[in-house]
This record gives sequence, structure tokens and C-alpha cells, in this order.
Amino acid sequence: MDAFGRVFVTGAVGNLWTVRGSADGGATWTTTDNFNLTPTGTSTARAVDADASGNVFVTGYAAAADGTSHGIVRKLATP
Amino acid sequence: MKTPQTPLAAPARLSIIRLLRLAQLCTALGCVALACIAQPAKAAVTEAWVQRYDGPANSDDQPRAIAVDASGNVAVTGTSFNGTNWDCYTAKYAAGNGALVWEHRYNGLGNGHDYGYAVAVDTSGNVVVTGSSYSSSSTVEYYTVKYAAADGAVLWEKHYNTQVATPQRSRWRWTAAATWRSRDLLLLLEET
Repeated sequence: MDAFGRVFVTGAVGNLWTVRGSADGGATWTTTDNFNLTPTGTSTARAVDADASGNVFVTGYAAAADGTSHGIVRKLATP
Repeated sequence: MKTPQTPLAAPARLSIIRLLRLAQLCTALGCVALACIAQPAKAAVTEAWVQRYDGPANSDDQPRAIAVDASGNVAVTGTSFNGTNWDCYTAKYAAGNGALVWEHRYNGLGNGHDYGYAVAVDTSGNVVVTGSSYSSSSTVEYYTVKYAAADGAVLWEKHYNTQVATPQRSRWRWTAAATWRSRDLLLLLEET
């Protein structure tokens, strides 16, 4: 849970890495982030954290063009 | 007298079609406008920066956990294949532009597999990582290390050798590390 009471979950939907967030304790959820390194490779979000300003940081791994998985870290500015 | 109708018929049909299209357009615009009014706060999430890690062996790299310090810098730990076995890999990235501040690869005792499972930061920005380190084919150690905030220097590291037999060793793993009151470290185990 971040400084604004938001809760996030991570995983993969299809071949996209997916982060879903809820600002009301889990009653309703919206997709915070979808990401993929290549159009066909699979990406999986593994962990998420947030700073005091509400920026969200996501890490996970994504299949690169050569088929191996690369480590990914993304910083997301949320309104 | 009969009025010739053919010259008028086609334009009349066109006008009706145009009117219908205009009505559709207005409806569509109205819906868009309503949607904008109804959801003024739903601005898009924007990517500030992204970093990619591909280890020296150009093989698989899989982050597992993330922690943000008070300044917005971020520490990530996970595991990275070195061509022969997995190493525990930890990196710290700068808050503003995501630049790599420091990184550590840990290939533990016995040259076995090493996995970073959890990471935490203290109030000074030091980074604590815990995970598993296979010291041989039959034993696994719980490995915990603390890296300095600025340069990632190893402040201390602990090996806890459980001497657990192979069939049982994978039942437990670290799942969380959290600093408490800035100095103490809390480690959580999960039965898998």
C-alpha cells in the first residue's frame, strides 16, 4: 500500500505485464500499467513499490528478441 | 399536370443521409464530451523512465522484489543466470532519471544457485537483500546482505546454513524483508 492508500497487484495477462491498482481498499480495480518489450514475447511484472509522491515503481522480466528474459524496472508517474 | 420528379429525387435522398450522418456525428461528439466531463481525473499513467538489465552471459535475468527509499531511489533484487548457475543480482537506480547507481552480482559459496527474494531500504537509503544460496547440491543457506546507500559497499553479510536435506529445502523461502525503526531487520519466511 502506498502513501495514498492505493493497493497494487502485479502479474501477467496474456503476454503483457500487468499492474492493477485499487484506491478503495480493493472494491474496484483499474489497470495501472501494461508493458511489453517485444510484441510477441511475454512480460511478467513481479513486484511494485511507490514513493511518497505517488510515483509507482514496477519490476519484472520480459522476453527480449533473442528469447532470453531481461530484467526491467519502470518508474511511472501517476496523476 | 405532372411535375418531373427525377431531378429532385436524388438530392432529396442525399440530404436525408447527410442529416442522419450529422446527427450521428453530434451524438458521438456529445458522448465524447460527456465522457471527458464525467472522468476529469483519469489522466494517463506516464512512464518516467525504464531500465533494462541483460547480464554478462546474455541469458535470463529475473527481478523478484523492489523497494523505494525516502528519496525515491529504487533497489531491485532478483536472480541472473551466469551461464552455469543463477547469481543473486541487486541494483540501485537513481530517482530522477533511473541511472544505475551501483550493482552487485553475488555468486555464493560452492558456486551454486543464488536467488534474491526480498529487498528493503532503511531510512538512510541502505539496502538489505535476503534470499537463498545453494552452497552444495544438498544444502541451502539463507543469505542476507546489507549494501551502503551511496556506493553499494557490503556493510555486512550473513550466512545461515540450515543444513536442510534436499527434499525439504525448497519448502521455505524468504518472501519479505522490512526495516523497522531504521535499524532492525525483520525477515519473513513462507512455506511453499
